[in-house]
Amino acid sequence: MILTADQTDAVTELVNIAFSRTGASLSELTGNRVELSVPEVSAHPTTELHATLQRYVRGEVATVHQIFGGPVSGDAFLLLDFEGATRLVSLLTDAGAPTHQMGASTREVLTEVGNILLNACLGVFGDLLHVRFTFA
Amino acid sequence: MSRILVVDDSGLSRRISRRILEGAGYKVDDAPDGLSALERYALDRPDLVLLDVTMNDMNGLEVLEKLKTMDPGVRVVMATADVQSSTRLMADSAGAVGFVSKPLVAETVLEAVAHALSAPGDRK
Repeated sequence: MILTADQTDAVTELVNIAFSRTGASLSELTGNRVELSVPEVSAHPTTELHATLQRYVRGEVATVHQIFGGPVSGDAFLLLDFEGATRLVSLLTDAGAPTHQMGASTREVLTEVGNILLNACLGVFGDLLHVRFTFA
Repeated sequence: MSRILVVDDSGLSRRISRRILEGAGYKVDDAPDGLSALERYALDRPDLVLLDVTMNDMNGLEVLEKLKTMDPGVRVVMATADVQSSTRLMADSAGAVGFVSKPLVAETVLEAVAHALSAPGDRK
C-alpha cells in the first residue's frame, strides 16, 4: 500500500492524537510523565514485519492483542520489549526492581494495562472517524 | 480583525485551524515548523499564535520560550492532544495564555482565542 503525502500527513496526525491521549492514560496509571515524539507512519507487507520490527525491539517481546469489530474491524497489538514490559508492571504494582520472570500476575497486569491503552487509542480513532468499535 | 499565526507540523491540522479561524473572520497565516514560525512572527508580529506542542526539531514549548524572548507580550494558545496535566503546567509556566486539546473543536478554539486576545499584553 502506498500512501500519498496528504494521506500520510492525515494518518500521522490521527495517530499522534490517539497516541497522545493514550500516553496521558499511561501517565495517569503510572504517575509518571510520558514524553512522546512525532509518530512515524509507514506501511509494510507482513512478510517484512520481522525485519522492520527488529529496528525497534530485539529479543523477547510481550504483546497484548485486542480484537475490535464494528464498521471497521481488525486486530490491535501492543508490543513491548521484555525489559519495557517488566518495568511497566513494576511501575504499576510497586513491585520494586523488575525481575526477569514473567509470571501469571505480571501477565494479568500487562493484559489489563494493555486493554486500557489499546481501548484509549482505538477510542480516539472511533471518535475521530465517527465509528463505534466493539471489543471482544 | 486580529491576525493569527497557526504553527503545526500537520497540514491537516493547519487546514482545520485555518477553516475554524477564517470562518470566524480572523486573518490567518501558518507555519509548518518552529523555525519558520519564529521568522514569521519576527516579520509580521501577529496578534496571537496558535501553537502545536508535539513537533519535530523544535517542539512547541521550545518555540514558546523563544517567542517570549523575542516578545515578552506575545499571546500564545497551545493546541495539543497531549492532555497530561504536567504538559499544561509546563505551558502555563512558559507563559501560554490558553490551552486547547486536539482534535480541535471550533467552539473551544474560538473561545480560547477570544479569551487570549482579550488578555492584557505587553507588546513591544
